[in-house]
Amino acid sequence: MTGTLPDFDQDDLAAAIERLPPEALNTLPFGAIRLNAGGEVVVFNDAEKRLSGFGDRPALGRHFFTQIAPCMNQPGFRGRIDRALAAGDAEIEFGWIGDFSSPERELRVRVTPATGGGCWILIRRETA
Amino acid sequence: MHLLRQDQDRAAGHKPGMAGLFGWGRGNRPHGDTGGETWLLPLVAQTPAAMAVFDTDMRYVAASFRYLSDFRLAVESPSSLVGRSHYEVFPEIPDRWRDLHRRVLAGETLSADQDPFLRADGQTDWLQWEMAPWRRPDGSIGGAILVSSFVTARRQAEEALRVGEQRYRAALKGPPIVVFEQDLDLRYSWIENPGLGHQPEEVIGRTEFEVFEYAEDAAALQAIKREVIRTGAGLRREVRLRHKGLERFFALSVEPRRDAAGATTGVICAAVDITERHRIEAALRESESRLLVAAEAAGMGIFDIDLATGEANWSAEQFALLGIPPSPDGRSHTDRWRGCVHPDDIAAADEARRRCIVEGIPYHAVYRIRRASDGVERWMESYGRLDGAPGQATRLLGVMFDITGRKRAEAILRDANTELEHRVGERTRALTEAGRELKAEMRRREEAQASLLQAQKLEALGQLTGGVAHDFNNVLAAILGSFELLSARITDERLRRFVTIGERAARRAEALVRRLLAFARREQLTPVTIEPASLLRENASLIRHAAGSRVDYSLDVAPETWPVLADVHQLEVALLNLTVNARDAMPDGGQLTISARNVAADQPLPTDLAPGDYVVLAVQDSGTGMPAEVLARATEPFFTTKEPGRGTGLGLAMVHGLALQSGGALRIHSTQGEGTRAEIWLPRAAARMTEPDGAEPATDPGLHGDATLLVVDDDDQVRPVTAGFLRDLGYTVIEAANAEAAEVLAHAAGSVDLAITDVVMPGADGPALAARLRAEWPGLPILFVTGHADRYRLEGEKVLAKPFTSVELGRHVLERLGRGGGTAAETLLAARLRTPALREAYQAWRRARRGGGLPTPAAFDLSALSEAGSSFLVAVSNAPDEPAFRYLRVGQALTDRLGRALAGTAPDPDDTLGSLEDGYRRCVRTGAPTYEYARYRMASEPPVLFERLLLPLSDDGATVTHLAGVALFANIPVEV
Repeated sequence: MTGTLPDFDQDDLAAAIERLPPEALNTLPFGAIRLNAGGEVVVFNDAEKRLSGFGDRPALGRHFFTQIAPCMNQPGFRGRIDRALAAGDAEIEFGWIGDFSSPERELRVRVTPATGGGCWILIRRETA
Repeated sequence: MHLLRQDQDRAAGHKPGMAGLFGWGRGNRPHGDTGGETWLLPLVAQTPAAMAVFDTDMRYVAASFRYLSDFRLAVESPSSLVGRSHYEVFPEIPDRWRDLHRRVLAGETLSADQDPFLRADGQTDWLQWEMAPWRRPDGSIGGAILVSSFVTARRQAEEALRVGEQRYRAALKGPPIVVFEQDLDLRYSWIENPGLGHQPEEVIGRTEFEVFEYAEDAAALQAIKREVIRTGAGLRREVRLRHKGLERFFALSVEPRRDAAGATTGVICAAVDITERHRIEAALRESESRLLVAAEAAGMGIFDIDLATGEANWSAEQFALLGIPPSPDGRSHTDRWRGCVHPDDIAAADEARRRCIVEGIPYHAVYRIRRASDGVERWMESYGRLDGAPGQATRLLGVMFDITGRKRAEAILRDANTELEHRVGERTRALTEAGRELKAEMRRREEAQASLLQAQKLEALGQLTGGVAHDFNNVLAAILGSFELLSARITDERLRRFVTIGERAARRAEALVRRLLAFARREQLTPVTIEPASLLRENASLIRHAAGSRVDYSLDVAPETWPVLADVHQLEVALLNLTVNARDAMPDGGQLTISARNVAADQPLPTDLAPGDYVVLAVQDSGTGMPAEVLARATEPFFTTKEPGRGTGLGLAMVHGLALQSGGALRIHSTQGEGTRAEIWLPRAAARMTEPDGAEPATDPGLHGDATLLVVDDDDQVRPVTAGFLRDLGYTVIEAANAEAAEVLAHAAGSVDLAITDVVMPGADGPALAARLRAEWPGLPILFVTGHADRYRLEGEKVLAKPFTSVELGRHVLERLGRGGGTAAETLLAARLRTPALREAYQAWRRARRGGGLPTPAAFDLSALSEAGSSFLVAVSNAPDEPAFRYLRVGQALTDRLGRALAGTAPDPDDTLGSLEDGYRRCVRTGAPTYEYARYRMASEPPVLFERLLLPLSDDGATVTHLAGVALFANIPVEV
């Protein structure tokens, strides 16, 4: 099979993903979304399509914080994150555990700068 | 002939006259005798009539110029003739004339009105003449005078008139022609053949009004005649006269009658009775009309071709059939017809016409035309005949009619016949096919019976194996439990090693029993949704290890392989079993491929599978393969081809059992020398379900203890082990060997928090005991344990299968005590909570639960927590539909961080806690703890970790009325 896929928890996850051949991106076991500096979705892998339940339409866009990271949804805080992400200088990880009625018992999201501007949003849904 | 007339009287009467005319007297002598009378000659010469004067010897005395010219005498002047004999001038003169001359010279006067005169050129002219003697003064005859004129023209006119008259008379005697004359008053003045039974005398002097019965007939006739009188030009008309009740028709011809001066004096008419012709023509017209009407009604076109010119006459229907307007378009009819005929049919139609014209074969042609008006294709049929023999005929006459309907009917009939033949053929084929299918079905049935026999054999073996295995479970439960308790108590490492060896042996025995049960399909499987791709990837290293270094291992998973529903552990074991078999079939190494692919419901399935979608997991080796007799027994338990000590004979049997129990099948294809392919067919999972956490994490020891448990088991080896586990976890344990003892001991204790009972016991069994205990203490939690999990499916009860580990027992006890841990998710949450303060809060919350309900706010004391300053309490109203929140209490550390007191306020969406309102709502909705965290680093700031745990509380144990929370902010040291 393929070579070793990047681990969600590894430090240089963004760089490891960017080194992958394009088709390998779709074999990642977690969702991967790349936003450009303007906040537009430019990459959207198969796992995200499948796991998000949104099919070919990206679940996330510019306002993903309000959608999946309500704990960061404060005007002041969000503005700082937006600016930092646009500058390619922010590392964010957040998640939750405990929504038993949902298939996603654990959700973890990493937001990490992408080479050349914009950022990667990497989403791991751990089902139990 | 009466032309020569001898008229003695006239000769006597006219002599003086004639002599007087010439001025001759008695004394005058024209020739010789007269001598000096020279005046006579010029006088005669100039006479405008043909005149000659002779002497008694018939010699010329004088003659006129007219005489010379009439008789074509070639002399210059009359004087040339003087003295010459008449017989010299006319040598050919007939003797009759010589007699006449003698008679005249003897005194007679002779004449003739018309006397033939033969000319020198043979032509006969007609001559009127008079010859008389002339006398000398002494009265003697001096000679003769001849006066003549030619009357040929007059004679011819008279002859013509006579012939015409004769013909006219003859004509009137033939057909009924009426000839009549009327004057200007239109009174009949003359009539021949009056007709209609009239006599001429009844008609003459009357007008039409007096002659005919009907005044309008008379008026019509008179109008024609007046027209002729007025214009002076003749008219031809067909007129009708009614007579004695009959209609008669006449062809009337009217000409003006003129007098010598040319003035119109009336009319000359001729009328021919054409009544019969009229009748025949009318009958002909009628007949023709009938024919046309009939032809038109029959949709039949009629054509009449002039063979000399190629021109044709068509009936209106002929035009209509061809869709051609009757107005000419410059082409001949034949060309227009050919223009309509289908190109494929024109040659045959032309040939039929040619044979008709040349050979006289009646014309018959069937052809298609394209109707000129609308382009519609129609079938036509034409018949025709010549009007005479070939070569003499001038016309080809015939009919054409539309036979499209007939053609269609023929086609339908033809199709019907074809269809019938086709259906007969089809039916024959179907019967043949059915026969073949029947044979195949018989063959399949024989195979199925063979399979059934094999299955029954395996079933019997399974029954036997299952029974033995259950007894072993009790033995193993005691052995394993004892070793576990020993291990906890022994401190001597040498002794501990023996315990470990014994424990391992017992575990192997336990695994063997599980496989036996799996084959016997007695073991409870825990089917979950499995992604084959993930399963194979996750087990890749294990499989590679099992396959050994000599084997080249590859994985081939088709994209989008469906999930399957199966027991994940069993499936892993099955794959390992197949891998080990494959490895053993390739002692010198080879190729091992494990693949996964979808088989949709519409593709061929093994006969014993229910219709549906399947996923096939296949283990393919390139090894020695199996002979047919080995393959046939491959799935039998304890059947092995491996050398003693290497195989249990349970591998394929276990895989077979797993596949069957999962609703699938095991298929093995093997060819000696080429290898074996084992396929596990598993039904496609209806939906992607969640996979229970395979790991059995140890329960948190902090949750155990502080409860009294009743343990009931008739097996004196198992019961102490179970009780030992529980006492080690900090519980108070009451042991009983049967139901009756259990009841007594429970009463003696006064209160029991949980009863753990075997199912099968002498006397009252487990369920009976449970019923009695619950009658005494309603709501008492009970946990059943059994080595016969399949036999006692206790509806709605919690059952633990023997043998079990202390961890498994601990987890079930916590669950029954309502202290959580019963769901894998809560265990997961416990494992994820790494910050001690949050774990502490979570465990305190779980301990505060009673009987599975939520803790009350009173039972859960936030202030007792070590991080009470970071805790908060929220009151919930209107749960669960539209919950509203209000802070009741907020710890000091949080108040400091926010810079204001929140107690009594509602969450503000703009501050750190308020923005978490969604989390609050989720917690209220699910009634379960919620953990959220965020780790972030921005620009050059140090990374920050934010964590929050929300715990639902309830006044009544069900509806969430309060939320307890702990929120922590921590700066994470920057890694260098």
